[in-house]
Amino acid sequence: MNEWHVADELVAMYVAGTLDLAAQSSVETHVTQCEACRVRANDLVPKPELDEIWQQVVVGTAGAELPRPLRVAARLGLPDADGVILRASSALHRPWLMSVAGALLFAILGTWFTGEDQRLFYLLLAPLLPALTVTSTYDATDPVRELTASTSCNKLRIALLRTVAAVSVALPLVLVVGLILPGIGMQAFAWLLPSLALTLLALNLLTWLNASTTAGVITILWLGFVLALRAGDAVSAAAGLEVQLAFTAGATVAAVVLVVRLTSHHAPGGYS
Amino acid sequence: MTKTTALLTGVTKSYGGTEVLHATDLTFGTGVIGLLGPNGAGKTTLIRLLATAMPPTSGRIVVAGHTITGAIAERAAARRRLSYLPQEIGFPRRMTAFGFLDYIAVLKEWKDTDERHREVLRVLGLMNLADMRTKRVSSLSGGQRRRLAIAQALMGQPDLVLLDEPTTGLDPEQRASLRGILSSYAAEGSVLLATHQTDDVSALCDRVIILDQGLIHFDGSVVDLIAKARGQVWIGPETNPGALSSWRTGSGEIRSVGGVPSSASRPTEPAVEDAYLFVRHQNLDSVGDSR
Repeated sequence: MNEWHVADELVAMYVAGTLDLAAQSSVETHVTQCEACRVRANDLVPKPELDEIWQQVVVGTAGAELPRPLRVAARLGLPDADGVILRASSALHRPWLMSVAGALLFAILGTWFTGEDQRLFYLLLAPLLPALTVTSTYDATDPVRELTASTSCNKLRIALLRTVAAVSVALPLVLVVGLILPGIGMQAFAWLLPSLALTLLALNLLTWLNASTTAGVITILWLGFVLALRAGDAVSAAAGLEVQLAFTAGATVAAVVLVVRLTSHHAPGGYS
Repeated sequence: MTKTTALLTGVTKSYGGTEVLHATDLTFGTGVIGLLGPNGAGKTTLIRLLATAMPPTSGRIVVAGHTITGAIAERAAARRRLSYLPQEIGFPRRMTAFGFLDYIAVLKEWKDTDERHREVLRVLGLMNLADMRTKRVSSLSGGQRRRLAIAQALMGQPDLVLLDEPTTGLDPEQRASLRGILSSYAAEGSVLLATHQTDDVSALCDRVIILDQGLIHFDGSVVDLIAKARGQVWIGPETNPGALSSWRTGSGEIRSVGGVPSSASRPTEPAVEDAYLFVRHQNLDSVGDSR
Protein backbone atom coordinates (compact mmCIF):
# COMPACT_ATOMS: atom_id res chain seq x y z
CA MET A 1 0.00 0.00 0.00
CA ASN A 2 1.34 3.46 -0.95
CA GLU A 3 1.77 5.63 2.18
CA TRP A 4 2.93 8.72 0.32
CA HIS A 5 0.39 11.25 -1.03
CA VAL A 6 0.71 14.34 -3.15
CA ALA A 7 0.76 17.59 -1.15
CA ASP A 8 -2.45 19.65 -1.16
CA GLU A 9 -0.75 22.53 -2.95
CA LEU A 10 0.48 20.25 -5.74
CA VAL A 11 -2.95 18.65 -6.15
CA ALA A 12 -4.51 22.11 -6.48
CA MET A 13 -1.91 23.15 -9.08
CA TYR A 14 -2.44 19.86 -10.96
CA VAL A 15 -6.21 20.43 -11.12
CA ALA A 16 -5.67 24.07 -12.16
CA GLY A 17 -3.23 22.92 -14.86
CA THR A 18 -0.44 25.21 -13.65
CA LEU A 19 2.26 22.57 -13.07
CA ASP A 20 5.18 22.23 -15.47
CA LEU A 21 5.15 19.20 -17.74
CA ALA A 22 7.48 17.02 -15.64
CA ALA A 23 5.62 17.70 -12.38
CA GLN A 24 2.28 17.22 -14.09
CA SER A 25 3.34 13.79 -15.43
CA SER A 26 4.66 12.78 -12.04
CA VAL A 27 1.48 13.82 -10.18
CA GLU A 28 -0.73 12.25 -12.82
CA THR A 29 1.10 8.92 -12.56
CA HIS A 30 0.54 8.93 -8.82
CA VAL A 31 -3.10 10.08 -9.03
CA THR A 32 -4.02 7.30 -11.43
CA GLN A 33 -2.73 4.73 -8.92
CA CYS A 34 -3.76 6.32 -5.61
CA GLU A 35 -7.47 6.45 -4.90
CA ALA A 36 -7.11 8.86 -1.97
CA CYS A 37 -5.29 11.45 -4.11
CA ARG A 38 -7.72 10.85 -6.98
CA VAL A 39 -10.63 11.65 -4.68
CA ARG A 40 -8.88 14.81 -3.43
CA ALA A 41 -8.19 15.91 -7.02
CA ASN A 42 -11.75 15.14 -8.05
CA ASP A 43 -13.09 17.20 -5.15
CA LEU A 44 -11.13 20.22 -6.37
CA VAL A 45 -12.53 20.07 -9.93
CA PRO A 46 -15.31 22.68 -10.24
CA LYS A 47 -18.55 20.69 -10.53
CA PRO A 48 -20.42 23.19 -12.75
CA GLU A 49 -17.59 22.81 -15.26
CA LEU A 50 -17.93 19.01 -15.23
CA ASP A 51 -21.70 19.30 -15.56
CA GLU A 52 -21.22 21.70 -18.46
CA ILE A 53 -18.89 19.29 -20.27
CA TRP A 54 -21.26 16.37 -19.67
CA GLN A 55 -24.19 18.43 -20.84
CA GLN A 56 -22.33 19.26 -24.04
CA VAL A 57 -21.60 15.57 -24.62
CA VAL A 58 -25.27 14.68 -24.05
CA VAL A 59 -26.51 17.50 -26.28
CA GLY A 60 -24.01 16.63 -28.96
CA THR A 61 -24.95 12.97 -29.06
CA ALA A 62 -28.71 13.50 -28.77
CA GLY A 63 -28.95 16.18 -31.43
CA ALA A 64 -26.82 14.58 -34.14
CA GLU A 65 -29.50 12.78 -36.05
CA LEU A 66 -30.11 14.75 -39.23
CA PRO A 67 -30.60 12.49 -42.24
CA ARG A 68 -27.87 12.63 -44.88
CA PRO A 69 -29.59 14.99 -47.37
CA LEU A 70 -30.20 17.48 -44.57
CA ARG A 71 -26.62 17.14 -43.32
CA VAL A 72 -25.47 18.07 -46.82
CA ALA A 73 -27.94 20.97 -46.89
CA ALA A 74 -26.67 22.10 -43.47
CA ARG A 75 -23.09 22.16 -44.79
CA LEU A 76 -24.37 24.28 -47.67
CA GLY A 77 -25.81 26.79 -45.20
CA LEU A 78 -29.28 25.50 -44.26
CA PRO A 79 -29.99 27.02 -40.81
CA ASP A 80 -30.12 24.54 -37.94
CA ALA A 81 -33.76 25.32 -37.10
CA ASP A 82 -34.83 24.77 -40.72
CA GLY A 83 -33.04 21.42 -40.70
CA VAL A 84 -35.00 20.43 -37.58
CA ILE A 85 -38.28 21.40 -39.27
CA LEU A 86 -37.46 19.41 -42.39
CA ARG A 87 -36.29 16.46 -40.31
CA ALA A 88 -39.70 16.43 -38.64
CA SER A 89 -41.46 16.48 -42.01
CA SER A 90 -41.59 12.73 -42.15
CA ALA A 91 -43.87 12.74 -45.18
CA LEU A 92 -41.11 14.36 -47.20
CA HIS A 93 -39.83 10.84 -47.66
CA ARG A 94 -43.07 10.06 -49.44
CA PRO A 95 -42.89 12.94 -51.96
CA TRP A 96 -39.24 12.20 -52.64
CA LEU A 97 -40.10 8.61 -53.39
CA MET A 98 -43.13 9.76 -55.34
CA SER A 99 -40.97 12.12 -57.43
CA VAL A 100 -38.41 9.47 -58.28
CA ALA A 101 -41.02 6.80 -59.01
CA GLY A 102 -43.14 9.29 -60.97
CA ALA A 103 -40.20 10.47 -63.07
CA LEU A 104 -39.14 6.88 -63.87
CA LEU A 105 -42.68 5.91 -64.83
CA PHE A 106 -42.95 9.11 -66.78
CA ALA A 107 -39.78 8.33 -68.77
CA ILE A 108 -40.84 4.75 -69.50
CA LEU A 109 -44.36 5.70 -70.59
CA GLY A 110 -43.04 8.68 -72.56
CA THR A 111 -41.07 6.44 -74.91
CA TRP A 112 -44.31 4.72 -75.96
CA PHE A 113 -45.59 7.88 -77.60
CA THR A 114 -44.26 9.93 -80.49
CA GLY A 115 -44.88 13.37 -81.98
CA GLU A 116 -48.03 15.16 -80.87
CA ASP A 117 -49.08 12.31 -78.58
CA GLN A 118 -45.77 12.55 -76.69
CA ARG A 119 -46.18 16.31 -76.24
CA LEU A 120 -49.74 15.75 -75.01
CA PHE A 121 -48.52 13.10 -72.58
CA TYR A 122 -45.81 15.41 -71.23
CA LEU A 123 -48.28 18.29 -71.02
CA LEU A 124 -50.69 16.12 -69.06
CA LEU A 125 -48.22 14.98 -66.42
CA ALA A 126 -45.21 17.31 -66.18
CA PRO A 127 -46.89 20.28 -64.47
CA LEU A 128 -49.01 18.02 -62.32
CA LEU A 129 -46.25 15.95 -60.73
CA PRO A 130 -44.63 18.75 -58.65
CA ALA A 131 -48.07 20.00 -57.54
CA LEU A 132 -49.09 16.51 -56.41
CA THR A 133 -45.75 16.14 -54.64
CA VAL A 134 -46.48 19.33 -52.68
CA THR A 135 -49.96 18.15 -51.66
CA SER A 136 -48.50 14.92 -50.33
CA THR A 137 -46.13 16.83 -48.00
CA TYR A 138 -49.12 18.21 -46.12
CA ASP A 139 -50.11 14.84 -44.76
CA ALA A 140 -46.88 15.01 -42.80
CA THR A 141 -48.04 17.96 -40.79
CA ASP A 142 -51.09 16.13 -39.50
CA PRO A 143 -49.63 14.39 -36.43
CA VAL A 144 -48.60 17.62 -34.73
CA ARG A 145 -50.85 20.06 -36.55
CA GLU A 146 -52.87 20.76 -33.41
CA LEU A 147 -49.72 21.57 -31.51
CA THR A 148 -48.14 23.54 -34.34
CA ALA A 149 -51.22 25.74 -34.54
CA SER A 150 -50.70 26.94 -30.97
CA THR A 151 -47.01 27.81 -31.39
CA SER A 152 -45.67 31.19 -32.37
CA CYS A 153 -43.69 29.97 -35.39
CA ASN A 154 -44.40 31.46 -38.80
CA LYS A 155 -46.63 28.84 -40.43
CA LEU A 156 -46.24 30.43 -43.87
CA ARG A 157 -42.49 30.00 -43.63
CA ILE A 158 -42.85 26.35 -42.64
CA ALA A 159 -45.31 25.66 -45.47
CA LEU A 160 -43.00 27.26 -48.01
CA LEU A 161 -39.93 25.53 -46.60
CA ARG A 162 -41.62 22.16 -47.04
CA THR A 163 -42.83 23.13 -50.51
CA VAL A 164 -39.32 24.13 -51.61
CA ALA A 165 -37.94 20.87 -50.21
CA ALA A 166 -40.51 18.80 -52.10
CA VAL A 167 -40.36 20.76 -55.36
CA SER A 168 -36.56 20.86 -55.38
CA VAL A 169 -36.65 17.12 -55.97
CA ALA A 170 -39.72 16.83 -58.18
CA LEU A 171 -39.04 19.68 -60.59
CA PRO A 172 -35.51 18.76 -61.72
CA LEU A 173 -36.61 15.15 -62.29
CA VAL A 174 -39.49 16.25 -64.49
CA LEU A 175 -37.20 18.57 -66.43
CA VAL A 176 -34.58 15.88 -66.94
CA VAL A 177 -37.22 13.46 -68.21
CA GLY A 178 -38.50 16.13 -70.61
CA LEU A 179 -35.01 16.84 -71.92
CA ILE A 180 -34.23 13.16 -72.58
CA LEU A 181 -37.53 12.45 -74.33
CA PRO A 182 -36.69 12.94 -78.01
CA GLY A 183 -39.88 14.80 -78.98
CA ILE A 184 -39.87 17.24 -76.03
CA GLY A 185 -36.36 18.73 -75.74
CA MET A 186 -36.24 22.38 -74.73
CA GLN A 187 -40.03 22.53 -74.64
CA ALA A 188 -39.70 20.90 -71.22
CA PHE A 189 -38.98 24.41 -69.82
CA ALA A 190 -42.31 25.64 -71.15
CA TRP A 191 -44.10 23.70 -68.38
CA LEU A 192 -42.30 25.41 -65.51
CA LEU A 193 -44.85 28.23 -65.33
CA PRO A 194 -47.93 25.96 -65.53
CA SER A 195 -46.29 23.83 -62.88
CA LEU A 196 -45.67 26.85 -60.64
CA ALA A 197 -49.27 28.04 -61.12
CA LEU A 198 -50.65 24.57 -60.31
CA THR A 199 -48.42 24.24 -57.23
CA LEU A 200 -49.56 27.62 -55.91
CA LEU A 201 -53.17 26.69 -56.65
CA ALA A 202 -52.65 23.46 -54.70
CA LEU A 203 -51.21 25.42 -51.75
CA ASN A 204 -54.25 27.69 -51.85
CA LEU A 205 -56.67 24.79 -51.91
CA LEU A 206 -54.83 23.20 -48.98
CA THR A 207 -55.99 26.09 -46.79
CA TRP A 208 -59.58 24.91 -47.42
CA LEU A 209 -59.37 21.23 -48.32
CA ASN A 210 -57.45 18.17 -47.15
CA ALA A 211 -54.50 16.87 -49.15
CA SER A 212 -56.25 14.05 -51.04
CA THR A 213 -59.21 16.25 -52.09
CA THR A 214 -56.79 18.96 -53.20
CA ALA A 215 -54.82 16.45 -55.28
CA GLY A 216 -58.07 15.26 -56.89
CA VAL A 217 -59.29 18.79 -57.65
CA ILE A 218 -56.08 20.00 -59.29
CA THR A 219 -55.77 16.76 -61.28
CA ILE A 220 -59.31 17.11 -62.66
CA LEU A 221 -58.81 20.82 -63.41
CA TRP A 222 -55.54 20.21 -65.23
CA LEU A 223 -56.76 17.20 -67.19
CA GLY A 224 -59.82 19.20 -68.22
CA PHE A 225 -57.61 22.05 -69.40
CA VAL A 226 -55.31 19.77 -71.40
CA LEU A 227 -58.17 17.84 -72.98
CA ALA A 228 -59.77 21.16 -73.98
CA LEU A 229 -56.48 22.13 -75.68
CA ARG A 230 -56.48 18.75 -77.40
CA ALA A 231 -60.07 19.20 -78.58
CA GLY A 232 -59.13 22.62 -80.00
CA ASP A 233 -56.05 21.10 -81.63
CA ALA A 234 -53.90 23.59 -79.68
CA VAL A 235 -51.48 21.38 -77.75
CA SER A 236 -48.41 22.98 -79.37
CA ALA A 237 -49.78 26.48 -78.76
CA ALA A 238 -49.76 25.78 -75.01
CA ALA A 239 -46.01 26.42 -75.02
CA GLY A 240 -46.51 29.77 -76.77
CA LEU A 241 -46.03 33.25 -75.30
CA GLU A 242 -49.72 34.01 -74.72
CA VAL A 243 -50.34 30.86 -72.70
CA GLN A 244 -47.09 31.40 -70.76
CA LEU A 245 -48.17 34.95 -69.89
CA ALA A 246 -51.57 33.66 -68.81
CA PHE A 247 -49.92 31.17 -66.46
CA THR A 248 -47.62 33.91 -65.14
CA ALA A 249 -50.66 36.00 -64.31
CA GLY A 250 -52.40 32.98 -62.77
CA ALA A 251 -49.35 32.15 -60.64
CA THR A 252 -49.11 35.75 -59.43
CA VAL A 253 -52.77 35.85 -58.43
CA ALA A 254 -52.45 32.47 -56.71
CA ALA A 255 -49.38 33.68 -54.79
CA VAL A 256 -51.19 36.82 -53.58
CA VAL A 257 -54.28 34.84 -52.52
CA LEU A 258 -52.06 32.32 -50.74
CA VAL A 259 -50.35 35.00 -48.66
CA VAL A 260 -53.75 36.48 -47.76
CA ARG A 261 -55.12 33.04 -46.86
CA LEU A 262 -52.14 32.02 -44.77
CA THR A 263 -52.18 35.23 -42.80
CA SER A 264 -55.94 35.52 -42.35
CA HIS A 265 -57.55 35.03 -38.97
CA HIS A 266 -59.93 32.26 -39.91
CA ALA A 267 -57.73 30.26 -42.26
CA PRO A 268 -58.34 26.58 -41.53
CA GLY A 269 -55.58 24.08 -41.02
CA GLY A 270 -53.86 25.99 -38.27
CA TYR A 271 -52.04 28.37 -40.57
CA SER A 272 -53.29 31.60 -39.12
CA MET B 1 -54.75 35.92 -7.52
CA THR B 2 -51.54 37.85 -8.21
CA LYS B 3 -51.74 38.47 -11.94
CA THR B 4 -54.27 37.90 -14.70
CA THR B 5 -52.93 35.39 -17.21
CA ALA B 6 -56.06 34.91 -19.32
CA LEU B 7 -59.40 36.61 -19.73
CA LEU B 8 -62.47 35.45 -21.65
CA THR B 9 -65.33 37.86 -22.32
CA GLY B 10 -68.56 36.63 -23.89
CA VAL B 11 -66.77 33.79 -25.65
CA THR B 12 -68.92 31.34 -27.61
CA LYS B 13 -68.11 28.50 -29.98
CA SER B 14 -70.44 26.85 -32.46
CA TYR B 15 -69.92 23.94 -34.82
CA GLY B 16 -72.31 23.84 -37.77
CA GLY B 17 -74.90 25.97 -36.03
CA THR B 18 -74.73 24.07 -32.71
CA GLU B 19 -73.39 26.13 -29.85
CA VAL B 20 -71.02 23.91 -27.87
CA LEU B 21 -69.75 26.69 -25.63
CA HIS B 22 -72.30 29.26 -24.50
CA ALA B 23 -71.34 32.84 -23.63
CA THR B 24 -68.47 32.42 -21.18
CA ASP B 25 -66.71 34.96 -19.00
CA LEU B 26 -63.67 33.77 -17.09
CA THR B 27 -60.55 35.26 -15.54
CA PHE B 28 -57.49 33.16 -14.74
CA GLY B 29 -54.80 34.11 -12.25
CA THR B 30 -51.80 32.21 -10.94
CA GLY B 31 -52.47 28.74 -9.59
CA VAL B 32 -53.77 25.41 -10.79
CA ILE B 33 -57.31 25.42 -12.13
CA GLY B 34 -59.16 22.15 -12.60
CA LEU B 35 -61.69 21.89 -15.41
CA LEU B 36 -64.17 19.12 -14.69
CA GLY B 37 -67.05 17.90 -16.80
CA PRO B 38 -68.38 14.87 -18.62
CA ASN B 39 -67.35 13.94 -22.15
CA GLY B 40 -68.69 16.53 -24.59
CA ALA B 41 -69.06 19.19 -21.89
CA GLY B 42 -66.92 21.70 -23.80
CA LYS B 43 -63.67 21.28 -21.82
CA THR B 44 -61.53 20.57 -24.87
CA THR B 45 -63.25 23.37 -26.80
CA LEU B 46 -62.41 25.85 -24.04
CA ILE B 47 -58.80 24.65 -23.87
CA ARG B 48 -58.39 24.78 -27.67
CA LEU B 49 -59.79 28.29 -27.80
CA LEU B 50 -57.29 29.45 -25.18
CA ALA B 51 -54.51 27.60 -27.02
CA THR B 52 -55.36 29.56 -30.19
CA ALA B 53 -55.86 26.27 -32.01
CA MET B 54 -59.16 27.67 -33.30
CA PRO B 55 -60.97 30.99 -33.20
CA PRO B 56 -64.12 31.54 -31.11
CA THR B 57 -67.42 32.18 -32.86
CA SER B 58 -67.78 35.36 -30.83
CA GLY B 59 -66.24 37.08 -27.84
CA ARG B 60 -62.80 38.22 -26.82
CA ILE B 61 -59.89 36.23 -25.40
CA VAL B 62 -56.81 37.81 -23.86
CA VAL B 63 -53.76 35.73 -22.93
CA ALA B 64 -50.83 37.31 -21.08
CA GLY B 65 -52.11 40.75 -22.03
CA HIS B 66 -52.42 39.94 -25.74
CA THR B 67 -55.81 39.76 -27.46
CA ILE B 68 -55.69 36.49 -29.37
CA THR B 69 -58.97 37.23 -31.09
CA GLY B 70 -57.39 40.35 -32.60
CA ALA B 71 -54.46 40.91 -34.90
CA ILE B 72 -52.07 38.13 -35.94
CA ALA B 73 -49.16 39.82 -34.19
CA GLU B 74 -51.12 39.82 -30.93
CA ARG B 75 -51.95 36.15 -31.37
CA ALA B 76 -48.31 35.31 -32.04
CA ALA B 77 -47.28 37.26 -28.94
CA ALA B 78 -49.82 35.32 -26.86
CA ARG B 79 -48.59 32.01 -28.28
CA ARG B 80 -45.12 32.82 -26.97
CA ARG B 81 -46.58 32.96 -23.47
CA LEU B 82 -48.65 29.77 -23.51
CA SER B 83 -48.06 26.06 -23.81
CA TYR B 84 -50.55 23.39 -24.73
CA LEU B 85 -50.96 19.66 -24.36
CA PRO B 86 -53.74 18.39 -26.66
CA GLN B 87 -55.88 15.49 -25.53
CA GLU B 88 -54.41 13.36 -28.29
CA ILE B 89 -51.09 14.02 -29.85
CA GLY B 90 -49.44 12.48 -32.88
CA PHE B 91 -45.72 12.12 -33.35
CA PRO B 92 -43.83 12.41 -36.63
CA ARG B 93 -42.56 9.05 -37.80
CA ARG B 94 -38.99 7.88 -37.16
CA MET B 95 -38.38 10.63 -34.63
CA THR B 96 -36.50 10.25 -31.35
CA ALA B 97 -37.76 11.66 -28.05
CA PHE B 98 -35.06 14.34 -28.20
CA GLY B 99 -35.80 15.06 -31.86
CA PHE B 100 -39.50 15.53 -31.17
CA LEU B 101 -38.93 18.01 -28.36
CA ASP B 102 -36.23 19.76 -30.38
CA TYR B 103 -38.76 20.19 -33.20
CA ILE B 104 -41.42 21.61 -30.88
CA ALA B 105 -38.80 23.93 -29.37
CA VAL B 106 -38.03 25.24 -32.87
CA LEU B 107 -41.75 25.80 -33.44
CA LYS B 108 -41.75 27.73 -30.16
CA GLU B 109 -38.96 29.90 -31.58
CA TRP B 110 -36.05 28.74 -29.46
CA LYS B 111 -33.47 30.06 -31.89
CA ASP B 112 -30.17 29.40 -30.12
CA THR B 113 -29.26 25.75 -30.71
CA ASP B 114 -27.36 25.16 -27.45
CA GLU B 115 -29.98 26.92 -25.36
CA ARG B 116 -32.72 24.94 -27.10
CA HIS B 117 -30.98 21.62 -26.54
CA ARG B 118 -30.44 22.45 -22.87
CA GLU B 119 -34.13 23.18 -22.47
CA VAL B 120 -35.04 19.94 -24.20
CA LEU B 121 -32.77 18.02 -21.84
CA ARG B 122 -34.22 19.87 -18.86
CA VAL B 123 -37.81 18.89 -19.64
CA LEU B 124 -36.75 15.34 -20.53
CA GLY B 125 -35.18 15.16 -17.07
CA LEU B 126 -38.29 16.67 -15.45
CA MET B 127 -40.43 13.92 -16.95
CA ASN B 128 -37.84 11.26 -16.10
CA LEU B 129 -37.16 10.55 -19.76
CA ALA B 130 -33.51 11.57 -19.98
CA ASP B 131 -32.41 7.99 -20.63
CA MET B 132 -34.97 7.69 -23.41
CA ARG B 133 -33.73 10.70 -25.36
CA THR B 134 -32.22 8.72 -28.23
CA LYS B 135 -35.08 6.19 -28.41
CA ARG B 136 -37.53 6.46 -31.25
CA VAL B 137 -40.95 7.64 -30.13
CA SER B 138 -42.48 4.58 -31.78
CA SER B 139 -40.54 2.34 -29.38
CA LEU B 140 -41.74 4.14 -26.23
CA SER B 141 -44.58 2.82 -24.09
CA GLY B 142 -47.93 4.63 -23.94
CA GLY B 143 -47.07 6.20 -20.58
CA GLN B 144 -43.65 7.32 -21.82
CA ARG B 145 -45.23 8.90 -24.89
CA ARG B 146 -47.70 10.73 -22.69
CA ARG B 147 -44.84 12.01 -20.54
CA LEU B 148 -43.02 13.12 -23.68
CA ALA B 149 -46.14 14.99 -24.79
CA ILE B 150 -46.34 16.65 -21.36
CA ALA B 151 -42.63 17.52 -21.54
CA GLN B 152 -43.18 19.72 -24.60
CA ALA B 153 -45.77 21.71 -22.65
CA LEU B 154 -43.25 22.37 -19.87
CA MET B 155 -40.67 24.08 -22.07
CA GLY B 156 -39.84 27.65 -21.15
CA GLN B 157 -41.73 29.60 -18.52
CA PRO B 158 -45.23 29.97 -19.96
CA ASP B 159 -47.78 32.23 -18.29
CA LEU B 160 -50.55 29.83 -19.25
CA VAL B 161 -50.13 26.05 -19.32
CA LEU B 162 -53.09 24.28 -20.94
CA LEU B 163 -53.27 20.56 -20.31
CA ASP B 164 -56.04 18.40 -21.71
CA GLU B 165 -56.24 15.11 -19.79
CA PRO B 166 -52.53 15.09 -18.87
CA THR B 167 -52.60 12.21 -16.40
CA THR B 168 -54.28 9.68 -18.70
CA GLY B 169 -51.96 6.69 -18.98
CA LEU B 170 -49.67 7.72 -16.12
CA ASP B 171 -49.08 5.45 -13.13
CA PRO B 172 -49.72 6.81 -9.58
CA GLU B 173 -46.05 7.62 -9.00
CA GLN B 174 -45.81 9.55 -12.25
CA ARG B 175 -49.04 11.38 -11.47
CA ALA B 176 -47.70 12.40 -8.07
CA SER B 177 -44.48 13.59 -9.69
CA LEU B 178 -46.42 15.58 -12.29
CA ARG B 179 -48.47 17.23 -9.55
CA GLY B 180 -45.24 18.49 -7.98
CA ILE B 181 -43.99 19.84 -11.29
CA LEU B 182 -47.27 21.58 -12.11
CA SER B 183 -47.35 23.17 -8.66
CA SER B 184 -44.01 24.80 -9.37
CA TYR B 185 -45.28 26.18 -12.70
CA ALA B 186 -48.41 27.50 -10.99
CA ALA B 187 -46.34 29.76 -8.77
CA GLU B 188 -45.67 32.12 -11.67
CA GLY B 189 -48.56 31.41 -14.02
CA SER B 190 -51.82 29.55 -14.58
CA VAL B 191 -52.10 25.83 -15.14
CA LEU B 192 -55.47 24.88 -16.58
CA LEU B 193 -56.09 21.19 -16.25
CA ALA B 194 -59.00 19.53 -18.06
CA THR B 195 -59.47 16.17 -16.42
CA HIS B 196 -61.80 13.40 -15.35
CA GLN B 197 -59.54 12.61 -12.37
CA THR B 198 -61.18 14.24 -9.37
CA ASP B 199 -58.31 13.12 -7.14
CA ASP B 200 -55.95 15.25 -9.26
CA VAL B 201 -58.25 18.19 -8.66
CA SER B 202 -58.46 17.67 -4.91
CA ALA B 203 -54.70 17.15 -4.63
CA LEU B 204 -53.57 19.97 -6.87
CA CYS B 205 -56.12 22.62 -7.76
CA ASP B 206 -56.71 25.96 -6.07
CA ARG B 207 -59.82 26.46 -8.13
CA VAL B 208 -62.26 24.20 -9.94
CA ILE B 209 -64.60 24.91 -12.82
CA ILE B 210 -67.39 22.49 -13.70
CA LEU B 211 -68.49 22.69 -17.28
CA ASP B 212 -71.44 20.78 -18.71
CA GLN B 213 -73.24 21.17 -22.02
CA GLY B 214 -71.18 24.26 -22.77
CA LEU B 215 -72.18 26.07 -19.57
CA ILE B 216 -70.22 26.76 -16.41
CA HIS B 217 -72.09 25.20 -13.49
CA PHE B 218 -69.54 25.89 -10.78
CA ASP B 219 -66.52 28.14 -10.46
CA GLY B 220 -64.85 28.36 -7.08
CA SER B 221 -62.42 26.79 -4.66
CA VAL B 222 -62.25 23.07 -4.00
CA VAL B 223 -63.38 23.76 -0.43
CA ASP B 224 -66.47 25.60 -1.72
CA LEU B 225 -67.24 22.77 -4.12
CA ILE B 226 -67.05 20.19 -1.36
CA ALA B 227 -69.25 22.40 0.85
CA LYS B 228 -71.98 22.16 -1.80
CA ALA B 229 -72.31 18.44 -1.14
CA ARG B 230 -71.99 18.55 2.65
CA GLY B 231 -74.91 16.68 4.20
CA GLN B 232 -75.68 15.02 0.87
CA VAL B 233 -73.29 12.04 1.04
CA TRP B 234 -74.23 8.94 3.01
CA ILE B 235 -72.75 5.59 3.86
CA GLY B 236 -75.11 2.75 4.66
CA PRO B 237 -76.14 -0.83 4.03
CA GLU B 238 -78.29 0.10 1.03
CA THR B 239 -78.67 2.76 -1.65
CA ASN B 240 -80.56 5.90 -0.65
CA PRO B 241 -83.88 5.98 -2.51
CA GLY B 242 -83.64 8.70 -5.17
CA ALA B 243 -79.83 8.89 -4.91
CA LEU B 244 -78.15 10.85 -7.71
CA SER B 245 -75.36 8.31 -7.70
CA SER B 246 -74.37 5.34 -5.54
CA TRP B 247 -71.78 2.60 -5.47
CA ARG B 248 -70.50 -0.19 -3.27
CA THR B 249 -67.28 0.81 -1.50
CA GLY B 250 -64.34 -1.42 -0.61
CA SER B 251 -65.81 -1.97 2.88
CA GLY B 252 -68.96 -3.45 1.35
CA GLU B 253 -71.13 -0.48 2.33
CA ILE B 254 -73.04 1.66 -0.13
CA ARG B 255 -72.03 5.29 -0.67
CA SER B 256 -74.92 7.42 -1.86
CA VAL B 257 -74.84 10.98 -3.15
CA GLY B 258 -78.19 12.65 -2.53
CA GLY B 259 -81.46 10.81 -2.07
CA VAL B 260 -83.33 10.00 1.10
CA PRO B 261 -81.12 8.28 3.69
CA SER B 262 -82.44 5.30 5.60
CA SER B 263 -82.20 5.16 9.39
CA ALA B 264 -79.17 2.87 9.08
CA SER B 265 -77.27 5.36 6.92
CA ARG B 266 -74.82 7.85 8.38
CA PRO B 267 -73.58 11.09 6.78
CA THR B 268 -69.99 11.26 5.67
CA GLU B 269 -67.59 13.99 4.55
CA PRO B 270 -67.93 14.47 0.78
CA ALA B 271 -64.96 14.17 -1.56
CA VAL B 272 -64.48 16.24 -4.73
CA GLU B 273 -65.97 13.39 -6.75
CA ASP B 274 -69.15 13.40 -4.62
CA ALA B 275 -69.44 17.15 -4.91
CA TYR B 276 -68.87 17.02 -8.68
CA LEU B 277 -71.61 14.40 -9.08
CA PHE B 278 -73.94 16.36 -6.82
CA VAL B 279 -73.43 19.70 -8.59
CA ARG B 280 -73.69 18.11 -12.00
CA HIS B 281 -76.93 16.22 -11.29
CA GLN B 282 -78.38 19.24 -9.54
CA ASN B 283 -77.75 21.29 -12.68
CA LEU B 284 -79.09 18.58 -14.97
CA ASP B 285 -82.28 18.56 -12.90
CA SER B 286 -82.58 22.34 -13.13
CA VAL B 287 -82.00 22.18 -16.92
CA GLY B 288 -84.64 19.45 -17.12
CA ASP B 289 -87.09 21.51 -15.05
CA SER B 290 -86.63 24.53 -17.26
CA ARG B 291 -87.46 22.53 -20.42
